[in-house]
Amino acid sequence: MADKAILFDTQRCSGCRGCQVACKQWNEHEATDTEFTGSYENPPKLSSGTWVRMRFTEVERQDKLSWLFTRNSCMHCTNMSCAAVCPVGAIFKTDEGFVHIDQEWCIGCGTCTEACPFHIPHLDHVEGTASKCQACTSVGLNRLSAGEEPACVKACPPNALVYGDRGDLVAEGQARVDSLKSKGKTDAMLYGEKELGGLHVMYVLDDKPSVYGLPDNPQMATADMTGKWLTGLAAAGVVAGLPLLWVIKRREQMQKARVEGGAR
Amino acid sequence: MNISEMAWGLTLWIDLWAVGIASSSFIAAFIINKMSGGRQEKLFRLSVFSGMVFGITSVILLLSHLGHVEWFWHMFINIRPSSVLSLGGWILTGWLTVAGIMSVLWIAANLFKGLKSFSLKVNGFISWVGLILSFLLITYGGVLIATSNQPLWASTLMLPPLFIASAVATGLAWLVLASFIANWANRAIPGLMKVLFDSSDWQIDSTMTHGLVRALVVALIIETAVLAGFMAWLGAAAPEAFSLLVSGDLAVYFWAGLVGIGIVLPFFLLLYNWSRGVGRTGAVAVAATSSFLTVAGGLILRAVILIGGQL
Repeated sequence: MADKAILFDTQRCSGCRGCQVACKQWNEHEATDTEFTGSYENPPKLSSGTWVRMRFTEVERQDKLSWLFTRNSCMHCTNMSCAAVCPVGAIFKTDEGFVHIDQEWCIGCGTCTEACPFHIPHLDHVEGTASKCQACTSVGLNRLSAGEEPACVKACPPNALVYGDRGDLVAEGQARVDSLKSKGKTDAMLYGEKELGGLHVMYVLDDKPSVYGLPDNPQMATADMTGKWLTGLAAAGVVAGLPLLWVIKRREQMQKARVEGGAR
Repeated sequence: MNISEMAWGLTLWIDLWAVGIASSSFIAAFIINKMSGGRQEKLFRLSVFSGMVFGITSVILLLSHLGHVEWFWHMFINIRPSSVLSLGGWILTGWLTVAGIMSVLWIAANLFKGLKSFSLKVNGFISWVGLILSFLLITYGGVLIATSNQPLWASTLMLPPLFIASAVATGLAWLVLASFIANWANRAIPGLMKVLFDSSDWQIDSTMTHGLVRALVVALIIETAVLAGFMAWLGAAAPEAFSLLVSGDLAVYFWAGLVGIGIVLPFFLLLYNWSRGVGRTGAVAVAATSSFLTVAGGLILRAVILIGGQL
């Protein structure tokens, strides 16, 4: 099966949060009781019951206030930090290329929540597992295998979300970016085309990723794991191992002295 | 700051602190025993027995931290090299197995004298396996949290060395405390001590304890240097995380707890002891207090770093 993906065009999004509602409805998540925090963002953060939320950012551009909308949800990376650090192998890629957490195998250790470059997975303290957007591939709620598009895409009124073959969406995204650049948006880019081996949720941005609250250069959590092990073991060796070498050396010298003493 | 909502909360701070003490006290007592030509075997036994308690506590805490305790066996279906938690689970299991075998053989040899030479041979060999596992165990905690995408934990290669330096100081401090406790237990519960140590009239002599205290002073200096290196690197690589520790929400815990209680206070108390002569009245109390503060400081360090990474 060809790799699938979702393309999110920040320039088309109206911030209606229809995707949030559709996600909650399809995945049978209860509404979240929240309080006004000074922003129309609601709920204020992702949780085990909120897999998609819209982030509203206010920025000043040429003395005018702009309201930016960013979809905050799993980016379905090709190089998955969450899967790499999972101690039980509960996280895998579906045939469509989306990242799935097996709720029957996850032990709820929380390692993936700390490893994700986008800080997406959350521990569900009721179910005892990590949870996040499963791209509508949850057991019993699998829209993709039924030939449907994800619920968030289906519900998006201005077609800011598009679902399809990843290759096609890269081409479409690039075309939109080219259009933005031709209008003077020199920092416009297709975020996710190459990041972390290619994301399965790509963003058409008209500015730098950091302006939208996205990491400019997301990294695998395990990228320099070998270096960390080696630094640690070297430190352990210096702090604790050098005296051991000294002991061994000293014992050899004592033995040698004993042998020489005996010979005399 | 809502700690109860954090994925890695209190149980994990204690878990990482406990494995640090178990592994570093094993390494220190092993080296001391070898340096003394085997005359400090009782201290080594003490480190293994107490390490077992810390190790088992750590396993219990690690399990209680899981969302699905009954599925913990999923971790032991295979080894996943890219997952530090998976490797740590196996390392800790191996370490506990070695420490368990050594403990059983020591006790069995005390009860059945015919087993003495067998126990000596087997323990002589597997203590080296225990040493290798201790090096891996002392390293694993820092690498576990450094293999993440939290700026405070992942921005510098100095986090594993910091955890190791702290573990060495806490491990030595624990050995000082354990020596005092063992000497007291020899008088209070001689029967049990005879079963565990094959003798109830031994003492961890004051020369040994003074040696440990001197080593602790050096360990605290090394920990200070590594902490300074960690903070300097963090300041350059992740200024926000640096500010959080030195002037943000965690500043009080960092300066008063981690630096003050965990390093500066025990260091100067030990220096004071040193300058006044270790034989004077109250020297033991000061050494015990300093050791207790260092052990507590190790826990504060892990709490501050773990909370800071999740804020």
